[in-house]
Formats: sequence, structure tokens, C-alpha cells
Amino acid sequence: MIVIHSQQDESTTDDVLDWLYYFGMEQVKRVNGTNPINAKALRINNHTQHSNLFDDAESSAINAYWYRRGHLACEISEPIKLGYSGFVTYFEKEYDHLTKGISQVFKQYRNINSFEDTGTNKLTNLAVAAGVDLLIPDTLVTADVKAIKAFSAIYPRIITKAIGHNRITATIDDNSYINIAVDTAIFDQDKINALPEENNFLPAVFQEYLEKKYELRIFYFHGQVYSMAIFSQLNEATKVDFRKHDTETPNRCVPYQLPEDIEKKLGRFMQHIAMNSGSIDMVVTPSGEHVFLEVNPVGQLQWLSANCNYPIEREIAKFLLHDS
Amino acid sequence: MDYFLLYSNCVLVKGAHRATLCDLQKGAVYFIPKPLADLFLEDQAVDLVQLREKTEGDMVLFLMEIIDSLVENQLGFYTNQQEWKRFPALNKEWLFPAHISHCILDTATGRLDYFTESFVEQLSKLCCNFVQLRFFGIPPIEHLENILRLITGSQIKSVEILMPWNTAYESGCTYGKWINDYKKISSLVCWGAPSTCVVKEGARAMGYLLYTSEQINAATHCGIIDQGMFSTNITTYTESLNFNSCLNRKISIDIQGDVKNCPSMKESYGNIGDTTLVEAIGKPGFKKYWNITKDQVSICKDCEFRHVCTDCRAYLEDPGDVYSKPLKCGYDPYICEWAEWSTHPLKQKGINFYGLEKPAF
Ligand code: SF4
Ligand code: SF4
Repeated sequence: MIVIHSQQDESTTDDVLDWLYYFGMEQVKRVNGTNPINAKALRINNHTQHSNLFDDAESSAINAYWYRRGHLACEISEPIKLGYSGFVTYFEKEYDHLTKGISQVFKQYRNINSFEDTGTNKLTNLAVAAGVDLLIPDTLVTADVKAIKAFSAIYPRIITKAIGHNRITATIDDNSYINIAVDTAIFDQDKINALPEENNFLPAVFQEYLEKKYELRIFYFHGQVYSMAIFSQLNEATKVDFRKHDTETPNRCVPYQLPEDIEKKLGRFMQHIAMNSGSIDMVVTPSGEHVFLEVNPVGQLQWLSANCNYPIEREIAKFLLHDS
Repeated sequence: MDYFLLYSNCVLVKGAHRATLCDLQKGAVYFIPKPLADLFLEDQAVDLVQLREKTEGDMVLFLMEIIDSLVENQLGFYTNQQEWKRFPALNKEWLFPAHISHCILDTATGRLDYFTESFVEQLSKLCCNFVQLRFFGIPPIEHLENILRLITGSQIKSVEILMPWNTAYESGCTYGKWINDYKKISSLVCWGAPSTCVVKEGARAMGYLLYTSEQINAATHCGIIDQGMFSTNITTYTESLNFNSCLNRKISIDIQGDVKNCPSMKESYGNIGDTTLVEAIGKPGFKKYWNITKDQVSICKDCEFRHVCTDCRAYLEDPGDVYSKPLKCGYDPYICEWAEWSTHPLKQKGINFYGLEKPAF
């Protein structure tokens, strides 16, 4: 049996499933984030690795596992939530620990990603990338205004972004919550100058702004590398962060052939961070240098395979079928 | 910058008299004059030094202006040989995980009684994504809703429905209700309506309600090649490079219940009453048209539209030649003009052969 951990209506999962069915595989268990794990059991002992995480099969019959997206749903009962809201954090931490444990168990199988990969650290990843001789942008992580000002004096422009989380979701009261995307933004020099020095805020990432010829989105998958160039410079709206899509004039996205040495370094990088699959962002500067930005374990794939006609979904299916 | 390079999802398709530049990412088609098309290396790049050397005076300016406008329209960019290596041509494989991609079901009576759970199961085994139901008689409401419910619960991704327009359904708001209730309907076309119009605009190729005053009352209406039906995308392009643009991975059941590749063809591979779809597909000959590509079809192979066009092997200009051009196409790629196919003198042989003389109503 193949186990796929994903979210409902996640289209890349649907596409891979189409290939699996096409190859005649019917033993597929798709676990969506909505499946509560409260009632499931993980059994660990000397004799078996059996557990009834899936109602219709024992995990010993699992041949491959793909962590695509999502959490396992953990249901915290209403009385606890309402009456003992202070305990919710404890419940969440316990569930988180269980989810990670389950994720570890699945890593024994032939797998693509694991839930743990979502916790990958962007800061240490930059350090690892530099360690394998990939170019990275000069990066400062701080809340110290003096340091920011000194840093901004070195480069014509700097950008700022969150350290680890690109989205703020917060509950305001019973009926409302906020959901804010924290995108990469240019940090204007006059705004930096205007910062009072005794400011007190959350540390953030500051990076030199890289002029780009084009950006690269690279899907790395068990040693295979699929790259796409995004001509984001053509559109003002997407110059800084190509994820801010301009739907009127979509960026031109075409297949790209990375230089061999960069491909090798990326392979080494992925080995170092022990991630067997991920979407890597890079930029190519006007002078032709390839600069590493970050890796995302659960990145958008369809965008890449659809624009470049890459057989990514088919290859994922074949991998899960032990056919590659 | 001594090269002009096309973005690799903008593909050059050379015809006898001119070429098209098919923007497969954005779905647009541009024309390229032959002298420029002929300068392309590997259909990808123009060596600008060579262009200036090999072309006569005024022509250089003319061609450079076109290239400038291509850059302006984001169809390509200026580069050098070094960088060109980083931009490989598009993968030409047709990536489509289905044994059968399209299924056409025709009925003269308005009923498709074989459309049951086990029939849907057969389609699902074949990974069939798209179903077209062509009603030449009015389907009873209960019957069609039952079919739509089965489709809703299946892996089928979309269904297109053609049916006769009628007053009772119109006044009962039945058509609109179906569109609202059954999200897998890509379009519902009511033919024989008082006027031709878009009643409800869908979104992303789903949920359209269309009326047409045309009479689509028999399979013989199929096979018309028209610019409005061109589709410019990677799937169509790669399928047309490798397979037949209409018949590849298609299965149909005609009004007699005969299982065929296309309802308009003579060859039957058994009746749905006693044959399964898999059995029919497995019979010798079922797939004989699947590999006929546009590059093998006479005239089409010289046409600049061949990779955005559909095909038809059921109605041919020369019925005796399987590689003949589709009968119902009025385009002449040698002079780049469209004409009405049904009145064209050279088409009369084919028209008589298929009995298409009179309008079929
Ligand atoms: S071969 Fe012609 S008649 Fe048959 S389905 Fe295709 S277009 Fe229609
Ligand atoms: S000649 Fe007609 S049928 Fe053939 S490719 Fe051109 S437009 Fe299509």
C-alpha cells in the first residue's frame, strides 16, 4: 500500500494519483489533514511495527510513503477549548510530538519528504548552502536598529522578510481572526533612516537586494533536478517576490538547464539537510551568478510541470511504485 | 547579444506560406513571415549576425522590427550563445495519464440506459477524464439527473452535454438548475434554440450554458474544423506531435449502442449490450487512427495551424485515403485563406460520399 499524506483538493496529489491509477495501482491510502488521529493507535514494541493508523490496513503492508502537505488533525474538545483555554497549548504540543513520531515511523519506508521537513530552518539552511559553496545573499538577522543601519549602508538596497513563517494567523475573538501574508519587501532607505534607535521589535531577516536576470524554481527529488526560469523582471508587480503573481500578464516560465556544478552543489546541500525532496528558489544575477535563496519542502509543483512539460508527477508515481 | 531566442513555450510552426508562433503558456497565436521563419536555427533562435549578413538591405530592417516587437510582446529575448545553452527546448512528450481520455455517448432517444454504476466503473478503470453526452432526443429529467449523480461520484473530471432545447425545460429553469447543481458540467449546449447566445458564462472552462439555433441532431454534425476550436496549450501541442488530435484515446458509443473509436465511423468493435469497453479497445483495429499525426496528413502537414488544430478522420476530402485532409476544413495553407468547405467545388466528392449534401434537418 502507498500512503499519501496531503490536504483535501490538493491538486498535485490528485495528479500523482491519476498516474498511480494509470499504472494500475489501487492500493493507495490518502490521509488528508482532516483525518483526526485521536482515535488511532501507534503501537511500538519488539515484535511488530504494526499500528492501526489506517483503518483498512496494517502499516506493515505499507510500501511507500509521501508526505505532501498538511498536518494530522488533532481534535481538541470544545469543553477544553472553552473552559480551559490555558491547556490548549499543552494539548497542541502533545499532538505535535505525536505527529512527529508518526512521521518518523513512516520514514522507515521508501518515502518522499516527511512531516519533519516542514520544520526546516531557513537560517541554518543558508549556512549549509554557503558551506557547500553555493552563493547566498549577505544576510543579517536582528532587531538591532544600529546593525540594520550599518548593514543598509553597504548595499544600494536591502529587503526584509520573516525568519521562518510567511503567514500570520491570529484569533481576535470568537467571530473573527486575521490572516496576513508576510511577503518579502524592499526596505526603503528613508524608512530605515527614520527608525528610532531604541526601537523594540521582532527580529527579522535583512538581505542585500539582488538584481536578477531571472529567478529559478528548482524541484529536487531523490537526485533528480527539474529547473524553471521565471522572467519576473518583465513585470513590475513581481520584481521583488515572484509569488505575488500578476494574473494579467503571467511571468514567462520556461525550462532551464542549471550548470552542472550548481546541480551537484544542490545535491550535496539536500543531502546535508537530509531532505530527499524540495522546491529550491534561486536567482540568476545580471552577471550570470547563481545565488541560493531557500528550500521549501512542500512547494508548488504544478506550476513547474505545467509550464515546462516536466514529467514530475509521473516520476513521483513511479518512485512510489518502486519503479525508478 | 547576438541571438534572438524564443521562450521555449512559444513554439514556431512552419507552414507552406508563413509560420505561426504558438504561445503555449498564454494561449495566443502570432504569424511570422516566411523569410523570418526560415532564419530560425533549431526552430528556436535567430543568429542576428547571420541575419544582417545574409539578408538584403531593407529586409534587415523589416525583420529586425518584427523581432523587436516579439521581444516587446514577451515571446522571446536577446541573448548570446552561452546563455542559449541554459534554455533547452520544451519536452515533447505528451503527459496524460489516461488509457482513454475522452468518451462520446450518442443517443437518438434521449436515454442512455447502459449508463449505470458498473459502466462508470469501466470508465474509471480506463482513467477516462472527459465525457461528452450527445442527446439527439430530449432526455427525461430524472434520467439525466441520475447520470449526473453517477458522474459526480466518479473520477470523471468534466462532462459536456448537447441536447435539444425545449420550452418546458426552459420555463422550468431546468437548464440553469443543472449547471448550478452539477459542478462537473463543463458546458450544456441546447441546440435548436430560438437564438444563439451564452446564457450563463462559466469560469475556467466549466459551468457554461449555451443556446444555439443550429440543429445538432445527428453525429454527422461532427468534424468541423474552425479557428474558434483551435486550442493553444502544451497538452494539445504535444498530443498533436505524437498522436491524432481527435481520435487518440477516444472511445464512443453510437446511437445503436455500437462501441467505436468515433461515432461517425463505420467500424464497430462490439455492442455495449454484450461487450465491455476494455474488450472493444483490445480488438485489432480499434486504435488504428491513434497514431496518425498532422505531420502525416496531406495538406495539414503544410499548415501552420497543425499543432493548435483538431483533426477528423471520419469525414475526409478523399474518402479513399486515410491520410487525406479533413473534409470539413476550408483552410488553404498555400494561399492562407479560409473558404466555406460545404460549397467548395473540390469538396463535392467527399460531401456526396458521406451523404452530407443536404443540411441534415
Ligand atoms: S473523427 Fe471526426 S467525426 Fe469523429 S469524433 Fe473526431 S471530429 Fe468527430
Ligand atoms: S489544413 Fe485545416 S485541418 Fe489541416 S491543420 Fe490546417 S486548419 Fe487544421
